[in-house]
Amino acid sequence: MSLLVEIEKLLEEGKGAIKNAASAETLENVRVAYLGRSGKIKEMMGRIREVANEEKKAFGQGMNDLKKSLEKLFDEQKNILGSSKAKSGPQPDPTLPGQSQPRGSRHPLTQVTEHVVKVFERLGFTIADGPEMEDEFHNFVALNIPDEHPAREDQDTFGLDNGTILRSQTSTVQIRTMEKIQPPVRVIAPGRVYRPDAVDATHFYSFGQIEGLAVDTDITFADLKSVLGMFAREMFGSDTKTRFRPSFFPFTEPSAEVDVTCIFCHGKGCRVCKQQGWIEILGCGMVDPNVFKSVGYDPEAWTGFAFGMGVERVAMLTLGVDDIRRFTENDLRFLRQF
Amino acid sequence: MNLSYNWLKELVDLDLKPQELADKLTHAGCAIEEIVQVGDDWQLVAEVTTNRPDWLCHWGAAHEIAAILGKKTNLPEIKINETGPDVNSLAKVTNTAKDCCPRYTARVIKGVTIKESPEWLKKKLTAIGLRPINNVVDVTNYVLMEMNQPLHSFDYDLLEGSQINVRMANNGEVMEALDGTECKLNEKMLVIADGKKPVAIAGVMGGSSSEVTEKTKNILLESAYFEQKQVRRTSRALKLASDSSYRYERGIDPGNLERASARACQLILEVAGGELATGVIDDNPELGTPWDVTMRYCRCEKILGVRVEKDEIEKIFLGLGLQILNKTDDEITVKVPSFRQDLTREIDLIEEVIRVAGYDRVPETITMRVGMSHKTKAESAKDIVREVLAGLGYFECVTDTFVPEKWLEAFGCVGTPVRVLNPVNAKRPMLRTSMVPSLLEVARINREEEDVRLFEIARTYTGGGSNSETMQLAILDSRGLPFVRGALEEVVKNLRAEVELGYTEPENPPVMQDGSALLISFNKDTVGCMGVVKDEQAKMHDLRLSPAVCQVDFGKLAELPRLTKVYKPLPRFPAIGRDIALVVPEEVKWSRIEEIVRKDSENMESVIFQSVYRGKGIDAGKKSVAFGMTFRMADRSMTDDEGNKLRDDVVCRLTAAISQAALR
Ligand SMILES: [Zn+2]
Repeated sequence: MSLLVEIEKLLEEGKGAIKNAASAETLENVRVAYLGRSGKIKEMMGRIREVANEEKKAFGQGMNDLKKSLEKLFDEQKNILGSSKAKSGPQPDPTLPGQSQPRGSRHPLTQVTEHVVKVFERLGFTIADGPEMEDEFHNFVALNIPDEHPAREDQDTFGLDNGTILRSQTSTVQIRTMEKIQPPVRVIAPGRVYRPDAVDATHFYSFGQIEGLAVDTDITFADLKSVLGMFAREMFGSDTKTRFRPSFFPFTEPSAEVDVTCIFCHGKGCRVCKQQGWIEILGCGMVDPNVFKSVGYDPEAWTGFAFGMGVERVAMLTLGVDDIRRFTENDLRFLRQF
Repeated sequence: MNLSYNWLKELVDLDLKPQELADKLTHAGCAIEEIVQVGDDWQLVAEVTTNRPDWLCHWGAAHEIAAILGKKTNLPEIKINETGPDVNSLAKVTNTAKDCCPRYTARVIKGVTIKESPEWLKKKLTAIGLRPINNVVDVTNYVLMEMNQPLHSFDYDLLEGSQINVRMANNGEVMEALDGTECKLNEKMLVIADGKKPVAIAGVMGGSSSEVTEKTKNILLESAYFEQKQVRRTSRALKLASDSSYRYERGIDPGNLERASARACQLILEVAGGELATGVIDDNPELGTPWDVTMRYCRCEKILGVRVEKDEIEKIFLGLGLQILNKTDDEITVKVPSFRQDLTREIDLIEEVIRVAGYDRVPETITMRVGMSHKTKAESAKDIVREVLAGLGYFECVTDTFVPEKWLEAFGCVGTPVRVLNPVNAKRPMLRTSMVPSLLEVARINREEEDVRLFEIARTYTGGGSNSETMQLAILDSRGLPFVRGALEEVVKNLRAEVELGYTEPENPPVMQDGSALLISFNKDTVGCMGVVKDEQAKMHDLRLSPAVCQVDFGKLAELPRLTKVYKPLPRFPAIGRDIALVVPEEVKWSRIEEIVRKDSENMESVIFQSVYRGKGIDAGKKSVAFGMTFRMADRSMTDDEGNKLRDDVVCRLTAAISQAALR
């Protein structure tokens, strides 16, 4: 027991010496005397042989506490006195690299979808949605594509054993929306669609589409051009120009394909746009009167426009992705790039 | 459809280069995808939309070009010399399937010489990618590409009884097609038969029994109108297609039959000689009569948002070959020729006006009404969830809706799964019923990564009559269950959802390791589960370690009521903290400890789990659980003694309630 008492005494003694040290030199001398290589603590440690076995643990613990207490006091006193010599001990290293705390990310397809959707939200379009397991009526018939219409040739669907099909276009949401609400309608509908296409670098059997629809008393083709023109400038840059080419979709008339000036060469012509200076980005048109009839809208009272675009296509163009399969593979090395 | 530049030049007085012509056509809606030079000619590869079958031939394209350029077409004059006997004395046509074949015409030429076609004809065909066969067949192909009328030439002498019977096939009838295909026919298929047997599948392909060969002397030339659906169904059923079936499916001009037949006879006489029988067999000459359509000028302007003047509209219609029947101040009525089957309504005429005038004429001026858009709860929740999880280091995935069948078995499935009848990837024939395997597959792709954190918001599907799609949120974390749970709780917190988030341990979790699974509930309604996936399922995905996963019904999460942000005054007096390390038997779970600690604890602000320690100093079968508590009083500072007392109370409760529990 006497050694434990001596540890206590040594602590009190050391405390006093440190507190009384009035200069950095004195303090350093005190440190050497107590904590130095041949200081009092080291000396006391040497006496462990005198300790009975069952008390060795307590002795060790006591010595450890003693050493820690004095070191702490010493550091405190040193701070008070201010260091007079070059620093010793651990030093900060501000050149160490930053501690990585990585954020995750939204999927690139989500990012592109949100980008598109937000532009239309700002123009007053509200997000709408519909089921992926659809019936022939909403996917085709109501969209003015009757049974065995040649347009169905271009658009095969996946059949399901529950009697439904997987929607092949988000245009179904046009019908679902108009069945539910009366005009004015301004909706933007992002969603996944499915087509039994063979898979290659630019085709996958499911992909994202974004459909837009506006119906009101006085909507014209000029409104369609304005809205899509604003969208293109917002999405691809303020100097982007649009070009409307006649096309055919059963559910719009007149119909158009919309090209934008190539975002890579700004219309000069490059590899991406096949030297055309233009890139096809979406399809659109004025809602066909037959579509209005199928949902019980009076085609004389209402006019409207609709448009649709492929998310993967826009993402591949804007992000420079060369293989559509990358999107559903979800390799983190890919996802981290966006 | 391949168009020959030189051929078009013969039909319209053109001073455009091939590329310029292609641009003009593309801007009128006939998209030229490619220009290929063939000798001294250019092939314009056109992608013709299904509404414009009239563009599937050179005369049709020429018509369009003339309309756009404001020029006239110079189509060749059709002149025939009928010097032979009356055609009715040579052949007999019986049509018993008027629904499927509204009009059938036939002519007969005797004494032809079958040989190679002359150079001009061969050149024309090769320029658009067709292979010359013999003079008669080449002429029928030529007229097809010229006038879009499919024609078929039979060897007249091989037609049993010199008869043509247009009829439905008999079940079990068999015919060998020109390409050698053995076709098994049924009563839903329309055939052309002679006195005994089918000699052609109507609109799809001729049969080899009456094929025109070098031996042929006399021919019967068919020019018919077969119904679109009929040809499509038969072509599909037999998996047999031709340039003819392609055109019949899209619809041909029913008023063109006789003219095309005469044109072909004119050319056959020119390149193969022979004598044309007098007259034509035609069972419905009336078919293809033009019809009237009226367009209101005000409606045109209302749709387009731009005024096109009446004079210009008139010019456009005339250029397209429409005949103007009547004009008033308000409207214009036209007669539409039968080759424009797509023009039947006012809106069709409005489209023609702006298509020819040019879409560039429509200004970018907005007049439509505006209004605020609003976001549904589900949409705003998606935004928050993505933001929170990405912020916590999780990567969003988009995975395949289609999954292998064994995934359903391994991961259990509530309700009837849905099977795809015609999968593209035969290994993935099912719609997913759980998001978990999808994320495990992504984990496998990233198995070289040390730290994999993933999430996805997507649908799962069930069928069996109650067909439904449920939006799910799934989270995967390779670091373990506490991280997944923490992430979910952070999501709920950031949604400001007003909810009692509950966890219960299920009896026999099918997916998760025993003892690791938790059912998640919102206000006692089970909405999902979390846990560490079973080793065998991790193995199925080639994963060495089993990650923790969680799946929650996203719709239910999104629809939870949201708390509004209201300021709560900050506490005025300091809190006092006390830590406890409690040694308990292994089977005692944290939830039990926490329950005891919280129960009847006065002034307790929080209980925070710190760590579990096993090993040196702790007996086997036990563990040391460390946690921190914070106490605070609203009206004054707490003293150390009071803090100690509260801690001691907690210790007493714990040691009383849990056998063998002791302070460390
Ligand atoms: Zn470019």
